[in-house]
Amino acid sequence: MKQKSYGIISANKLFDRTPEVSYLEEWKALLALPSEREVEAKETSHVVFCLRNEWFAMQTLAFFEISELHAINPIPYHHDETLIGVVNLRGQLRLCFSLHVLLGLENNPVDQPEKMLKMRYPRLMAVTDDQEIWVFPVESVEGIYQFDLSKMENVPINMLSLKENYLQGIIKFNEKRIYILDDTALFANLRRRLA
Amino acid sequence: MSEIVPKIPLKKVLDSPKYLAGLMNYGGISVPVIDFSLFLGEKPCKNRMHTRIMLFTPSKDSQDAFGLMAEKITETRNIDSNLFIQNNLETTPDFFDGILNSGTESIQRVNIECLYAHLKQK
Repeated sequence: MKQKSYGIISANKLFDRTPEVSYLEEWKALLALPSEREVEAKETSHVVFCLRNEWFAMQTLAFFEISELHAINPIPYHHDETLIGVVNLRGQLRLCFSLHVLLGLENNPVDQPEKMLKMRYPRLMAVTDDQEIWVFPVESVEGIYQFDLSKMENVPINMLSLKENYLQGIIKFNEKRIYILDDTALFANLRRRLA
Repeated sequence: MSEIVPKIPLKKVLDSPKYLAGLMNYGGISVPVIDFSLFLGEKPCKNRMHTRIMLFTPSKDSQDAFGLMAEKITETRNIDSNLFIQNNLETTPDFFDGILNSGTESIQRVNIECLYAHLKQK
């Protein structure tokens, strides 16, 4: 009990001193700044990944799982180059598509095994629209970041020349240009093509 | 109460009551700060680390925000509001809406809405 009262007395002594002018001036400048709480939180969480040396991001909520690269088994007599094959993900067979093809990037990475070996951290990304789970391979995953989509820039016209547009815009982040993918448009297209 | 901040230098207001310590730039808004010690008595708050400004926003309008400067703001306590008893003395200002006798100390509760209305009338 005595120790407690000594503690309170010591703390009160610490507060019972004249504050330094620099300390108060620092606080004055800090309080004059607009409050962070007044800035509307518009940031949403995105998973950033790499395809053909380009950075892309998709809403974290659209992801079901990110796993090590498993064997992708091709589907016989299937000629749509978007659908690469099926993957065994936790005992369940999932359709594996090529985001490279959908985005009009170069050939599928799985078509060129030597290129896959050169990838530093290849991963399989499982995405879901709450009904189906689809899987696609990526060269590497950068991580999960918060982006303010109001700061998004428009996509260059040459990228929009694709038949299907899955790009919402570009965010500049850590000296990277990250293309933000529209998961709703992507899922609608996947459902139409792979159903 | 929205925030408790140190007793920063304030902008003096000419021809104002003594208890108006000054205006504080709070995120671009000028917030009047009342020296509660001077408002209730004759002595202004001491220039000490424990003297702080409590910021209140009685309504949703941030323009109504005001600061209350007081001494020895060093702790918060959880007190059952039913333990405060009414003081029926007519001389007690209406913004003191209860008193709690705890050991050797008496704690008076301040009704911020009443205090704000009281200050506006002045």
